[in-house]
Amino acid sequence: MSAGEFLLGLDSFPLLALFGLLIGALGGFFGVGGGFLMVPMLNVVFGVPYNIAVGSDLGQMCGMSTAATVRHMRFGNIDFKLGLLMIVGTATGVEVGAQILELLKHVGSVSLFGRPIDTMTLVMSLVYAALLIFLGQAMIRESLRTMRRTAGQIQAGSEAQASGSVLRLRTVRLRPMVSLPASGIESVSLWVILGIGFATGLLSGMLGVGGGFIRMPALVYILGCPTVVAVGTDLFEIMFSSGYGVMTHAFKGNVHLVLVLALLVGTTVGAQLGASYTRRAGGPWVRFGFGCLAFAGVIMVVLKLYLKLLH
Amino acid sequence: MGRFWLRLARILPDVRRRQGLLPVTERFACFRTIGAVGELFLANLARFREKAERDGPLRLGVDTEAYEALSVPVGEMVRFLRVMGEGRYEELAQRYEALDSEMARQVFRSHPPEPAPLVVFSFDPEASRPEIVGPKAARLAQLAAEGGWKVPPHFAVTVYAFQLFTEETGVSDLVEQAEATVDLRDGSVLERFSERVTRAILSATMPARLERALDGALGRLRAEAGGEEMVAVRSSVLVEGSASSFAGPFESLLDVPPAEAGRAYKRVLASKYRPEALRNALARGLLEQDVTMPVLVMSMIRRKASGVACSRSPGHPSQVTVSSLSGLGDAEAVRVARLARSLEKRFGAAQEVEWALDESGSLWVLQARPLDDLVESQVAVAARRGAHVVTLDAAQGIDDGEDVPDRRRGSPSAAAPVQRDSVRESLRELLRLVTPLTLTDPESPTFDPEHCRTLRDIARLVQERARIEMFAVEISSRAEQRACRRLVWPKPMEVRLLDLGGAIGVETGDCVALEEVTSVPLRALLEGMMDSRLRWTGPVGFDLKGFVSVVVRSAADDQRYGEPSYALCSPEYLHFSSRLAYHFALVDALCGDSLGENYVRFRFHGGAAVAERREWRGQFLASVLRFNRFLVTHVGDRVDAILPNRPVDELEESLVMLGRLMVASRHLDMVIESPAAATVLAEAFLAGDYAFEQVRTEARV
Repeated sequence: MSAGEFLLGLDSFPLLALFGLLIGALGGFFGVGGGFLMVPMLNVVFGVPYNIAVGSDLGQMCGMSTAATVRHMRFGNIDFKLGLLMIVGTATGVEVGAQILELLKHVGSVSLFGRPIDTMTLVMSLVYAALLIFLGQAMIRESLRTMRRTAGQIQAGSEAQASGSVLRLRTVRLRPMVSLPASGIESVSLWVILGIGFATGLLSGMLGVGGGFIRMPALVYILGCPTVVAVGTDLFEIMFSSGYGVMTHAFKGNVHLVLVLALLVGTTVGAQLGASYTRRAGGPWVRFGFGCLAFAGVIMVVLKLYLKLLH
Repeated sequence: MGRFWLRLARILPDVRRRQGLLPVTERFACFRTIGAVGELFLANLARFREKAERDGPLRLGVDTEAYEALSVPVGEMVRFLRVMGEGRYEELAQRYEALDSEMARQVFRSHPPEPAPLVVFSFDPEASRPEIVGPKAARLAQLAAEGGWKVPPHFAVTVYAFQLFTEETGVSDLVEQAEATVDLRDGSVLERFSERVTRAILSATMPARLERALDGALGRLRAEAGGEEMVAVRSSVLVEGSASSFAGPFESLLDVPPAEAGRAYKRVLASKYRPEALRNALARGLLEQDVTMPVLVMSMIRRKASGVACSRSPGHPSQVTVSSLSGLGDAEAVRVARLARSLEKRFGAAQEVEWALDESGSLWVLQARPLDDLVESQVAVAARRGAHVVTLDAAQGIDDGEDVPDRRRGSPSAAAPVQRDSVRESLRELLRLVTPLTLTDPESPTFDPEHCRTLRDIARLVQERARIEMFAVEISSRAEQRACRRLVWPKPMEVRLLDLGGAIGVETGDCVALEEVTSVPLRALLEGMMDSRLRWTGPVGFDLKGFVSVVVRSAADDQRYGEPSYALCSPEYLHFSSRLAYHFALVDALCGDSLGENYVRFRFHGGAAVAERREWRGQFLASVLRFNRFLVTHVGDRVDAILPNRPVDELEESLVMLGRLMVASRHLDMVIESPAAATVLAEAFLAGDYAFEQVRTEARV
């Protein structure tokens, strides 16, 4: 299937909205992780080409994050200097991601096992499969370990050598250094800020993933932003990166308006549903569940690819 | 009893008024009520234990009173816990019901309905029961019944009469009210109180029933005494035992004509409220209402001579001392001395005897009480007043052959002096279902309703469960969120305050300035958090493995890290919950005046790094907390710590420390590479290096 053959009419709106509801609920339940499934599932279930899935998903995300930013405005702690510096990296990342996708779109077909296959579908399926495998296994392993530990089966400090080492503060001292007074940070390498922006931007532009799951911990742990500032600045960045992403993808003809609306309606409702269930489940169980779901996603992506090769 | 109800009533309506308010506020009201009622329970328990232990006279029905004053508060505690637990704790409620009915059964069994006579003659069946007639009358009745001693005709105006008099005339209300409202330890207050009560008693009209009983008894007494009209009216209270320092100060009236007997009775009652009597009672920890006043009315003897005798002279145990207000012949002195020795033999301990010799030469016993070297001997008093004092020994034919056990050395009495004190026994029985505390360790698996053996166990369990209920409190409803106000303070942490009553100086506005916070525990915690040696921002350190683990977890975590911290507080209480980055910390503290209720509880769990590292951070926290004398449980990344029963200043110190610890442990899970690092960090923290400057090496990438 090529991008040109794909058509979605208003008649498929309810079905797409339902799908958005499901993904939204998963997103609400599993956090950012649910969003990882959005693009590959749009492709697997509805046959939406990856470029359009990515572009429209970004559109949906832009709407959601704008709403969230307005809602969280009362926290109102955005470090604008940090945000604006990071935008430079983010914009570059988004653009690079979108260009890669554009490149894949125009490469055409390649031959695999003697059969022709759309390059973009092949590459994106593999990238998503790899991403989901990585996340899935990491989460399952981590959640199992946490559960074992909480159950007290492993004694404190039993498996690590007492090395007597002290804290090592590893810092990047690559000039130029900037200070971030709003976050109370004296000096940090500009390249770190740009790097964080670029990495998250690339994920958004190419895979339609929010990137908050990297940015938030990076702001908190690598830069040392206070949590309140990190939350505000993260929302600010999401809004910008998805906004810029939608714009650049729209110019490239990758945004499908009906799809965006359907997803927006579905996810808004779904997110509320999902979030209300999260509190009832324990943290490790949520991650374990998501790990399993990620593997289910991988199987579906691979199966779809295999079926395509058969035709 | 009235005092107990007064206090309980003062505590309870507080909650009723609060019902229908925010769930959090209502829970807190229940929590505090449980604490206050628990205190009341313990105070009542201490009061009744004292009564059961000491030797003073007890009011009848004291066991019923104890049952109510002890069981009702615990019942209330259970009820409020069930409100907090939204109906849970069924088993605990059942256990309480079972204990309560057992106590009720016991109290009822020891109180078969019995007549409550107002006056008792020496030949009446109640005459030898000191808890009804008073010990003085009980001893005389025994002597009269046994023969061999001449005891003047007499009757006792019983404790029932005292109860009837004080209740019908309103004197008991006056006393209870005064006790609940004024501090009798203040000398001038005590004097005024004494004056007021004395006036009230003397001006009161005798209750008609008592008046009739008294007139009847006086008539009968006259008949028995062969027409002798005059009577002596004196207190029948006699406090036995070593600390009986208030045996003396009560009124004793002689030669009272029958028409004046009622007035004399009132004067004796009033002497119970003399300042020195009150002071003595207070010094012994007796509550005013515990002391009752039976009165002895005795026919006057036409005496030729009278006085006091000690069966053993102080310092010269072989001698007998006889004092007399008028001259006494040698032969008569020997008779008195022999009488004293015979009474000593009868009661099995050295005696002090009041005696009288009438014109026909009969020797009468007016009173006999154990000789007590802590109380000034009446002989010595008489001597000071110019009485004649003679001492007699074997040379005068006083037989010293008998081996007299000295009660001060605790030898068993030769003969039981008085009947068993059944009221005290019943009270002691009852307290066996209340007092022993068998549930001591909240961590023990037997810390549950099934293992509650006494009311005290139940009270303890309720208090512990209430703390846990309070610990689990969460701001959940919109209304609760709206009721919160933002704390304006210099640190990058969103803190929302919910005032549970009086914790914030200013009542209105969306924001609360730091200075307006009056909650003691919150102030202490914030003080710790604002320590200038702490680092709130900036990288703690970077570790790739740790970071990847953070990313993986945050990809599928409930995204609550943006939530503010909540501080629910009252002037003495704080419940502070925070989700900082990826961990969760909870402080719950009560810093009041009562040591038994006070505690600080702390919980910490979560984090973003891999499980081992989170656990090592837990290890760091646990060592610091243990060093600060917390009791700590540490499983995985979860640390639970409690510091119970400390004075306010110590708890404040601990809260300052917790404030520092909560901020200092920020991100440590990312960089803590080994259990050994946990130890190094704990040492640095305890040395005041809250930013870990001294244990850090910088590695440039």
